[in-house]
Amino acid sequence: MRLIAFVTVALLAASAPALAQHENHAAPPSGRGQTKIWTATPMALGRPAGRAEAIAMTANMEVDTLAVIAPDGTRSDLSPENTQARIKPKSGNYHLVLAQGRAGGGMVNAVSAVYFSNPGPAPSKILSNPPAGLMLLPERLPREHSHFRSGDSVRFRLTADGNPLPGMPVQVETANGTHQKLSTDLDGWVKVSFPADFPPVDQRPEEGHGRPLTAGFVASARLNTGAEPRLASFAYAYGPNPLDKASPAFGAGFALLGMAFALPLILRRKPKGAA
Amino acid sequence: MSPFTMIRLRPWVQALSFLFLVWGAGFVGHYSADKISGALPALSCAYDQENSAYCVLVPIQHQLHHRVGEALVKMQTITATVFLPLAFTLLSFLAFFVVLNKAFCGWLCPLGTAQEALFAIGQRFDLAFRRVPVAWRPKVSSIKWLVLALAIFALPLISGMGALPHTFRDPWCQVCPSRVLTTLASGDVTQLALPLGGDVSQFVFVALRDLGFGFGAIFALSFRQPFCRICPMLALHALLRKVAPLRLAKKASARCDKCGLCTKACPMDIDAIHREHGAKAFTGDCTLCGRCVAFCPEDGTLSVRLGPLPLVSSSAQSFALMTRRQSPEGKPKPVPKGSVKGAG
Repeated sequence: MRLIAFVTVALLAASAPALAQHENHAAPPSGRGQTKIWTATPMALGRPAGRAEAIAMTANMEVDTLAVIAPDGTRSDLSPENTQARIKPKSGNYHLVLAQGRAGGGMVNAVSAVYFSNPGPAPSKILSNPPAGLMLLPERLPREHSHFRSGDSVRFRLTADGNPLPGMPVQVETANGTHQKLSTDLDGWVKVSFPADFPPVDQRPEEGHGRPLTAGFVASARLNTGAEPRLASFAYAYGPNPLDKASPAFGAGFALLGMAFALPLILRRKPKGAA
Repeated sequence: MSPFTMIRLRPWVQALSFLFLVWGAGFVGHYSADKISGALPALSCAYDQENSAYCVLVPIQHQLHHRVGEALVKMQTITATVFLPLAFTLLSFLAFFVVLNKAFCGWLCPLGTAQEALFAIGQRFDLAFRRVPVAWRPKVSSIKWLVLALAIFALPLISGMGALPHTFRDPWCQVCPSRVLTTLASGDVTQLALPLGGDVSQFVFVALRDLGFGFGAIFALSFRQPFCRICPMLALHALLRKVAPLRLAKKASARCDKCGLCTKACPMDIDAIHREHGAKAFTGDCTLCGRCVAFCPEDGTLSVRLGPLPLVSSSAQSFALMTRRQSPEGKPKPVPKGSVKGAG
């Protein structure tokens, strides 16, 4: 009996990282409430639809295939209806949405990510082993309880059939109107810094029910060599810097006030009769 | 292992654990799925983006809020998708907890380690020594149960049902000092920052968090483990402590009546170690730090056991070595005359 209990506990301990996954606190894959067209770049998007489903969409491209790639690398083709398809996750939290098609006379590989509060593997494997074709993927996606934020920097890697492409131009556009032109380094990496381009705090829409304000961005790279042009894009979302609406100095002030309250308690009283 | 060796080993374990739990993402990986656990029985904060594991209290609150509370309101069928995540979290916690029992508090918790380090510094600089007066101890000991019931279970559930603002989804995490400590340790000031405008409850929570952090950081120089007294993790441990084989054991001894060094050495001021024996000596407040064993002068009276196996037993020899280094209350030797309040 004790052996069975021990084995059960050992198995539970081994599986705890997967079992202990919980709520979706990663950023949604596109800016909340943004309906206006802010880019002509072909994009794939994934929008959460409830706790166990998401909707895959595309923009600015004609789609040949739409697929979802689970963190273990399993690819499932989706059947789009009216340019949208429902995603039901396999195991693991982040799934990639991959749309392949055409735009502007060239071939397009457009990728996004969607987060589910599912137990299972991390997306490290699919991000470090890009699918075939021209791909632009981030080095990492936000952790649970975190988001990409204005001021953060994230590296993206441009690859063709898994091989890094050095010295290639990469364009970044945000739904808030920022355009950046960057270039990949010798290993195909490009560092993208999310701009502080959100409206002033008093002009921002209200955040509801724990859903933070976010804006969409798309990073893209065009390769004009070969028989026909090719384009890779990655679209996701970022949020404003949390310190826009909060003050570390005032926070430190409250901490110092707490310290002042405790100060009399740590000083030793002089013994009676002492000079 | 002798109690003296154990007491010398513990700070090293605590320091390594602090490094690993606060900055360990580089070892285990970046994502939550890579973490050792999202249900760790120690206050390793989920808001610290560099940690290697995070504590069980976050998912419990969020699952009660997001799943159970919301599902109750929507009158959905209460299915496995509602309760399974909570069950998995509790089972994961239990799987870890069974290995070390309450030693997660005394050996691994980053907040516990920081408080001990502060107390050691305070006593090195000969600041006042304070402890909970004997008459108050039962009341202080019961606060953690109130915090567990309200902050971990009731308020997130009520908030999920829509009767409280969304900021009450994780009220303990909103005020937990470990959230400030571990994020500051990883160079992130966002959890210290006070919101300017917006939700009043959010402002109040952060103000309380910062006030509490500041108060505790100074008070810990004179008072052992101030936050542990009200920690809901300690209460959660206390609920389950009898299922784990690692425990404190005490044999009845007539000499105990005249001694009481174990209670003086206990950073949680537990009277039962002195007054009780058998299973009653291992109370809900114990963190299995082992100081009582190290300061017990009688061979074999107190021990830390894994099931029937004694891992560390009290001995006169270890007592002599310990008392040469520090007083039971933690004052480094030589103890200045009259520095320990109520001593002598």
